[in-house]
Amino acid sequence: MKKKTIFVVTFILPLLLLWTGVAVSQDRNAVVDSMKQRYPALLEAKNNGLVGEAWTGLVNIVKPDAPARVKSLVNAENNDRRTLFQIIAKETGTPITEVAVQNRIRQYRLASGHHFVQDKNRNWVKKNQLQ
Amino acid sequence: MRHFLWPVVSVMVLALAACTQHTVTADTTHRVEIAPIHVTVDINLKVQRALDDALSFQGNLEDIFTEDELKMLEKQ
Repeated sequence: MKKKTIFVVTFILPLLLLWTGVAVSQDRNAVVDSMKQRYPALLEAKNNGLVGEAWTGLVNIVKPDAPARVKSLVNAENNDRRTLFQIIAKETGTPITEVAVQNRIRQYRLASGHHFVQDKNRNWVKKNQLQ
Repeated sequence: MRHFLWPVVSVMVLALAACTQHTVTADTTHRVEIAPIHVTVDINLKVQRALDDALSFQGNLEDIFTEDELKMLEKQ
């Protein structure tokens, strides 16, 4: 019995931990690659005033009559962002809500003056009009 | 002739009054002054570095925070 326990602890457990780490790393890379590929289209939608950075740290549709492909883009981006927030929350030992807030700060700072962002009352304003 | 004078004059006066136009406008706009909103933001450098590590294709930490801000954050 003792030999079995030693075997499991010495060989099986480290392999399991290694496998979990690899799986998380692959998830992270997959999410980042997905977001990187989508980024030019997302930037174009922001430049056209169709999409903006929301108070929640996610993106959202600014104009309700935006084309279906833009709505699809927003959904895909937000799914990836939520996954990334979970990964970073685990890595840093921070609540997901905090990661989302920090992402909002990051995205607002990166936004160009003519891009739409939400103010604290959730109203869409252009960044250069945000007080 | 005199019998018709006053009725004719009255009709002419009424006709002139009917030709005038009166418009009344009311200014219903409300001017509201919004004082500048000051927002205190807490930066979590550990999370910002993790986001930067993943999303560097969007822009780097140096694009987001000034040198002074980064120095201040690193001191915390």
